[in-house]
Amino acid sequence: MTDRKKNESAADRSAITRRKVLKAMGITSGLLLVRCTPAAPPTGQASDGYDWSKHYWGYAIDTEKCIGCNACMRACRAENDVPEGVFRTWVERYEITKSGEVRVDAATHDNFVFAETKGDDVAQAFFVPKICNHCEKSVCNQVCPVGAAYRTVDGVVLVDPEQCVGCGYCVQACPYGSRFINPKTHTADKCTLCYHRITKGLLPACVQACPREARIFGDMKDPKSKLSMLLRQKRFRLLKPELGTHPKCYYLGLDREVV
Amino acid sequence: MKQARNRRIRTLLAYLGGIVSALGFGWTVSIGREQNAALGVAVGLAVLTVLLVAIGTNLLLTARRLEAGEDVPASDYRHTIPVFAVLVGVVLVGVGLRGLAVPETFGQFGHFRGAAATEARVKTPRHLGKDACKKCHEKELTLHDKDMHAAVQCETCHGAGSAHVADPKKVHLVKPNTKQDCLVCHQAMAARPGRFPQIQWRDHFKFAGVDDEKIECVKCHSPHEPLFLDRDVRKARLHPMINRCRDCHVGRTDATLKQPDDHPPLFQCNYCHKEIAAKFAQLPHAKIDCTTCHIFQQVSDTAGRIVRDADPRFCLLCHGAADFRSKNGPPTIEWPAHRDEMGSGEEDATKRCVDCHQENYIHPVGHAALLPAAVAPAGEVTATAPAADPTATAGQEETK
Repeated sequence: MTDRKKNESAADRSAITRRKVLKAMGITSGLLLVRCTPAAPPTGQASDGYDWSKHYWGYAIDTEKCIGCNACMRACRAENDVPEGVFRTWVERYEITKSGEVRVDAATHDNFVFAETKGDDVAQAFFVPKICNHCEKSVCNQVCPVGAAYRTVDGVVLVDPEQCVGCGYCVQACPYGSRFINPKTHTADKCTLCYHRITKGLLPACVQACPREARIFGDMKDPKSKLSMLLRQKRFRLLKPELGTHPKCYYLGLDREVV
Repeated sequence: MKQARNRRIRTLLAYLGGIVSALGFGWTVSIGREQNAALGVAVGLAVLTVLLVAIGTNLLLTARRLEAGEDVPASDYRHTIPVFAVLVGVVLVGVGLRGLAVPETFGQFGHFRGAAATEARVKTPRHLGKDACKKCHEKELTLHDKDMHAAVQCETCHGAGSAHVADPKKVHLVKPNTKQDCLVCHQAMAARPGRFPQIQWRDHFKFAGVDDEKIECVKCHSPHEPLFLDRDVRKARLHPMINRCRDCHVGRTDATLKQPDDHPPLFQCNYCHKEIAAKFAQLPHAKIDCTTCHIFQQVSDTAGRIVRDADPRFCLLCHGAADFRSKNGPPTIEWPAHRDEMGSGEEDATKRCVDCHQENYIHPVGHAALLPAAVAPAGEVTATAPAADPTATAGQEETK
C-alpha cells in the first residue's frame, strides 16, 4: 500500500482513483440514508383543538320519514356551491306498480320539487335519499392515480382539489354514483359530509335542513351519540353490501327494490 | 482461473446492479403509501446494504490480490464506477423528481396530501342553525318551537343565513309565502308517508270553503304556527299505538286468537274511545276525522304524541269569516266580535270556542269521556291499552 502511495505523482491526483470513488460512494449513500428517514410522526390534533382520531363519523337515513321535499338538496347546494346539473346528495322516488314494475326518478329541475305522480297503478311508493356512503374500504380512493382521493382518520372520504387531475376514474369506480366531475373546477367532487361544519361541531347542512329528521348524523366512536343509539336499537340495511366497500350510510326501513 | 473468477464477480455485480435499480425504483414509488410505508423503508435500507456489500466485496478482493503481490489492472475495479454512478444517478434523479412533484405533506397521514384535510375545514359554514336566529327573532322562534313545524329549521324555508347575520340591514332572507312554497312539502304524493299532512290543494280549498284560487296558504295558516296548538307538540304526553294483537289481547296464546272478519282496523280511535266516538257520530262534525283536530305525531313504533287544539284560531281556520269564503262552506263568524257579542263582560274575554260549543258541536269531555271504553273490539278482553291518565287534560282523548 505504502509503495502505491509513494508512486502517486501530482499528475495522478486528478485521475480517478479507487479511494476517491469509494469516498464519493460513501457520501452519496449517506445522503440517501438521510433522505429516506421517515418524516416526523403524524399527529391528528389541529390548531383549534379538533382531534380527528377521537371521532368516526357516520350517517343514517330513515327512509320511512322522508317526505321528498328536497330541503337537503337545496341546503347542500347553498352550503357547498354545487353547480347546476350535478348533485352531492339527492332523493330518489321509488314507485312500485301493481304489476311489480319499479319506477325510479329524482327531482333534478324546477327548484328540485317532485312532480305529481301520474296514473293510479302505484302499489307502493317511497323516497330514498342518497349520499356518499363514506365507505370504510372506498373504491374511489383505491383507484385514484395521484392520491387526490383519500379517507380522513375520522372516516370521511374527501377529494384534494389541488392534486386531482380530473381523470374521472373515481367517478366510474364509485358503485353508488356519489362522485362527479365539477363542471367549474374540472376536478372530482363529492359529498364531504360538510367537513368544514362537522369539525366545528355543527351538523352537515342536509341533516340540519331535514324537516323530518330523516337524516341522522353522528359520531360512531361516541356510544351516546344519536347515531350510535339508533344503530343499537334499530335494524338497518346497507346499499350493495356484497361489494365489500363497507359503506357507512345506514338505511332504516329500506325496501328490497332499492339498489 | 482467476480471470474466470473475476468475470463471475463482475457478472454478479451487474446482476446486483439491476436488482438494486429495480428495488430503488420500487422504493421511490412506494414511499408515502400508508400500507407500504414499512416496506418502503425496508427496501431503501436493502438498497444501501446491497450497494455497500457490492463495493466492499470488490474492495476486499482487490486488496487481497494486492497483498498477494499481484499486479491489479484498473479494469478489475473500474467497472464498479459506472454501475454505481448509474444507480446513484437513477435514485437521486428519482428522489429529486419526486421531491419536486410530490407536495410537502404528502404521505403524512397516508397516501394523500396531509394538508388537504386541514384545507377542507377552512370554509365558513353558511347555515347557522336556529340559535343564530334567536338573538333577534325570539318571538317567532318561540311560537315556531311549540307548533308542528318545531322540527323545521328556520333556514330550511328562509335559506342559508350567514350573510344575513353578518349584515342584517343589507342582506335579507326570503319569505316563502306562495302555495308552491308550502306544497314543496305538503303536496299529496303517493311516496309521502301516510301520516304526513299532505293535500291536493284544490280539494282542500273546497273543503275549507275557499272560492278564490289565488288565495295563499298563509292567509289561514301561519307558517311559524301552522295549527295554533295550545300545547307544545314536543312536550305532549305519549299515547300508545296499537300495532299488534297482543297490545290488546294480553295473555292469550296464538291458538286462542281468532281472526274475525269484522275486526276493526288497527289503530282506530274508536277502538278504545268507543262511547265518545258514538256520540261524536251524531254531531255536526261527524264527517271530520279525529286526527284533523287531534294531531297525531308518531315518535316510535309503539307510541306517538297527540296534540289537540283549543286555541280559537284553530277553529277559525275553517270558521273565520273572510272574503274568499264560499257561501256553501262551513258557517263563519267574525272573531273576536262573536265572543264580545255573546259574552256579557270582562270574564268572557278569555273564552274560547270550546268553552261554549263543546257539548253540542264538538264532543263532550270530562273524566268519563277521557277514559277509554272497556277496550277491544269484542269487549272480551280487559283493558290493557291506553289507560289514559285521569289527570291528563283533554289533549289525550280520541273520538270518532
